[in-house]
Amino acid sequence: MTELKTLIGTVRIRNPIILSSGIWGSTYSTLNRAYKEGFGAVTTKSVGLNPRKGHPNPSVIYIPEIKSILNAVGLANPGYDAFSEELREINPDVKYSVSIFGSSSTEFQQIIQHMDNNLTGNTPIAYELNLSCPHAKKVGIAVGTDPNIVYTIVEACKVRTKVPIWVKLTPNITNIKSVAESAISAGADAIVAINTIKAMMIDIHIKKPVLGNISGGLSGQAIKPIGVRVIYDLYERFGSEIPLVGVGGISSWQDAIEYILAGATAIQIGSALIDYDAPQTLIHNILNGLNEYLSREGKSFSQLRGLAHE
Amino acid sequence: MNKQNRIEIPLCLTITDLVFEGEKTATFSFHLPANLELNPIPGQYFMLWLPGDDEIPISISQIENNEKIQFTICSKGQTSANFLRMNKGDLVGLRGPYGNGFDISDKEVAIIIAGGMGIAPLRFIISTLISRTQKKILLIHGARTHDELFFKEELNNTDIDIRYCTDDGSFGFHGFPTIILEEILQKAQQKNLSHEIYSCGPEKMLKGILDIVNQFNLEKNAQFSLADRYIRCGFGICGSCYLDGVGLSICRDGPVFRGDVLQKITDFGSFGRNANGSKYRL
Ligand SMILES: Cc1cc2nc3c(=O)[nH]c(=O)nc-3n(C[C@H](O)[C@H](O)[C@H](O)COP(=O)(O)O)c2cc1C
Ligand code: FES
Repeated sequence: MTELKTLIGTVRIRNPIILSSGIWGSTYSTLNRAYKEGFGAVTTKSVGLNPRKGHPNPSVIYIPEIKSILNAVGLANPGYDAFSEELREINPDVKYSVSIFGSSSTEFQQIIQHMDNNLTGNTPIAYELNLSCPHAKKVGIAVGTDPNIVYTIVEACKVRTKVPIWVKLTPNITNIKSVAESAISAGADAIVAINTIKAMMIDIHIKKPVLGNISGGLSGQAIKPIGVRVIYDLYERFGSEIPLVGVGGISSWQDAIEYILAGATAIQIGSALIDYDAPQTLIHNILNGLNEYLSREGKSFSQLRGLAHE
Repeated sequence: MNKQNRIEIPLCLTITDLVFEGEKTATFSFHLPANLELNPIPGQYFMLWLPGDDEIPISISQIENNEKIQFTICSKGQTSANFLRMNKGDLVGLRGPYGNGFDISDKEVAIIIAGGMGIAPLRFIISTLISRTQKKILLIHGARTHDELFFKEELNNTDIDIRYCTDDGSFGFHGFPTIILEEILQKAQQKNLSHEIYSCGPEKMLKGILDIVNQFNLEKNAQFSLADRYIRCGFGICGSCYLDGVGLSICRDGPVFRGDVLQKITDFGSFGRNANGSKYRL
């Protein structure tokens, strides 16, 4: 077996496959289970200041023809206070990051400070700032497309905590590089990309949008080429200095390798879990495929990063 | 797991029939397009979408020839109440079947325990067992009061054994179905017959049943359908319905669980979660 331990900045995880935010991760039991099934690390559902019940259903629809999911969950969460209690129950061996959304730098600071104080027993490997949810008002994409706001938020978080700050970006923007640049100059420890892509669906019989929120975000296999392009662009601009976590439509070892060749340090997986009763098989397949590929190529995992640029 | 055909994108169908079973409960019929071959299993559910309102999970109450499908809806929240205001001919979006249904076992005696609305999915398993010529079927049918013993006439027309009970004593035995179950299992011990237990109803009742089957070492032969919990996606992705303990989902790993699995689910019978993910005591 090739060494698949992965270093994301200063964070070391046992393999490069991370559970992405909003899939499974609403409870401590699922985070524990996901880690036990083999993920290198797991990400929580995004949490905000106040409890939110999310948008009316239908809010998550699978589209089999394109193996993709349309969702407008609307950042449902119990609020940071209750959620930090939930996270205290996570097993001490589990490597997890906490995904956070907010509408201002003070909101982000407040949540991070509370988490820092409450999670001393088992500190998260990172706070992942969700500056990219496309279907909630005043948060996510609303703050994540303006380079100045992104700078202020990231800087405010960096001064509050020693835990690494990862910034999750949206592809729903013409120039993702300038937002990434703001995040990095404000001290971001890694960039995570991509979140879902704005999309919708209309029922032709009742002639109305299907999602309770009318529009939502697309994830799954259809968005993979978009995610690969974003990682490629970011690597081209920033090189190997800043860790990049590639996410969007990954469901096989080939997809994972594609992202790594484009410049990703690690990857996240969400929608692909729909094909499995337990993620163990999926993770196993990807790690095996990755290993075999590396030995065929005679390369180490870290040597693979960004090779498509040479 | 065999891949089952499933409707993933809500399919809008007209309500072909709507029959009130009680003041706040009605059975809705729909005709599925003939080519779908969904072959649903008793205990599975559909997501029913009321356009402009919301979408809720409802167990399959009956299906004939893979075509005429029925759902029994009881008015509890805002959306189910709005369902009961619908009329024949109105459009409802259907996606499913979802979830893990009941295993149809070949045990000699099938004991079916229904509490209140729990009779709806069990009605589907009763007809399935009858069609497979199950030797002996015993139904313990409980409800708060006489008027809530739904499908009484229909079930009386079959030749299964039925024991009724009501919380208020207005019909049948005055007390909970669990008391009758205990009695039956005690008697059955002497007869050396094999049993399979199928149950659905309020979680407190299911918890009572689990305690009893445990005493008789029957937890592996007892199946429980957990209704009344919040479901959003239906396919195990969004995290809304996961139960604490070993981290199993209601929507995909359930809603039917065997007793030995339920024992590992610490939330069972004690905690639920609402749409924002916060926990509440049942
Ligand atoms: C049902 C659902 C809920 C999601 N919720 C969140 C969330 O709370 N925060 C977030 O940053 N991303 C969220 N996402 C986006 C995913 O983390 C991921 O970026 C996206 O789905 C692309 O990856 P995939 O194609 O592997 O799913 C969600 C995605 C889905 C399908
Ligand atoms: S409702 Fe989405 S995981 Fe069960």
